Amino acid sequence: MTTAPTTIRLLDLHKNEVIDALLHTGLTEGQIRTAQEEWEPIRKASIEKLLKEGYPLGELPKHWGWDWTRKIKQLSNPLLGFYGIECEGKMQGLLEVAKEGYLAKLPEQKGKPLIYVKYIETAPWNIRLLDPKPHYGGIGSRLMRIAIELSHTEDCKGRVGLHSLPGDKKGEPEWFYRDVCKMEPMESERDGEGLLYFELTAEKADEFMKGGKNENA
Amino acid sequence: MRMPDEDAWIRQKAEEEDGALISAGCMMIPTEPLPAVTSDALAARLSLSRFVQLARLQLRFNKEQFASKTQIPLKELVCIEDDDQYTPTLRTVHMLAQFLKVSHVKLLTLAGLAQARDAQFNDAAVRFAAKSEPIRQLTREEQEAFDEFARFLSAR
Amino acid sequence: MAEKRTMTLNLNDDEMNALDALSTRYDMSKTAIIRKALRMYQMIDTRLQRGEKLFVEDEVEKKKSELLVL
Repeated sequence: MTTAPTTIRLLDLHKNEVIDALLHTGLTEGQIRTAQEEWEPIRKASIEKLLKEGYPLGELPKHWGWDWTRKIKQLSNPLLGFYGIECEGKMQGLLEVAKEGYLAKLPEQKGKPLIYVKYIETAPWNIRLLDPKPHYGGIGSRLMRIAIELSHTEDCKGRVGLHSLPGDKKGEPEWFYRDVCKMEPMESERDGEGLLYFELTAEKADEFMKGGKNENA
Repeated sequence: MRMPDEDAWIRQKAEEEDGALISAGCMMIPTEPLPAVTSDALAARLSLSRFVQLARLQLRFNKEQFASKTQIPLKELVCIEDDDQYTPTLRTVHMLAQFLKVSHVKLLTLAGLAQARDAQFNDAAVRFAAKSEPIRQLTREEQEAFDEFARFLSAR
Repeated sequence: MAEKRTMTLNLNDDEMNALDALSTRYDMSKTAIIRKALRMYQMIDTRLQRGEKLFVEDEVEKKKSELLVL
């Protein structure tokens, strides 16, 4: 189910200006296909470029084979939520969440329902590893904010969980979830692929939403 | 909940995030049917399935043993061999290339994770896919086709 | 956000007690619990209409039993 898009704010890094963008709640098949068509060639081209530049294969980003069109069948599933951030006619970030079926694992909130991020991705031109001058900033944070707001709407108090793709150095996914989003990693909850589980408490969700100086990022 | 000034918030978060990779999900691609792809890409992908399977059979490993030796998830090996529309993860391609001593880049191309450099690559993949069939024991022809393709993939 | 409408819900003691217990256990409002229940029922109904079946599985006993929703 889709609703009319709402206006949100994004930072255009090229212009160093905060501008309007559109938040799509619910996505259409067309939007998914267009995003995949626009993102995939750049993703794949970047593998070759990084490899040619001698980037260690084991450290390459692990999501380059992702295909959002595989999710088209799930777009109307009431247990899932799909969101997109669009700016200047292109999708800049996509988010899929599960609204049901996931309970918190951290001791202080164990067993309480949370919103589980199933997939989250920012467009390749917003990633510094691929483009030394990324176009839009804060996409990941803005998508996480969507998840937190949904968590509140669902009365899950801001609790969010996810399995991060590997990489704990600055600029990599585990670093982002630990140091920018202030999520708690749980080694004991790695999934079958060995991905590290992160969980956001209600308190840390509030802090993230309020902003303020982050000494660790 | 009262939100602080949205512009200030996004500026601060953008600075902290600094163009980071933020992907979360799983590395494996969900097993749902892919939309139509080019015939070159299909042939390459089929070649990967056949190549991995024949390599395993040649070494006389069952899938479980091969997955263990190559240190890749068993379920992913099954998908590579049995589902020619499945796209393996980068890590798995890396581990396979390392174990089988073939070019990482060429195996990435077969997997659909990198662009083919030239028509010669596509031709080699199509020839191999055409000559090989997934049977339990290698025939002499399969062995020759496999050896020929393995030599091609090994050439750097 | 989509416009919301209000309705009155009549529940007997057992039903209210069940709702209270779930609300307490999951630290959620009763409204949120009802919404979750509705969403699950909607999903199950869609799948059943397609001819699929709903099972529950006991991992310890390795037993699967069919759960019918009429």
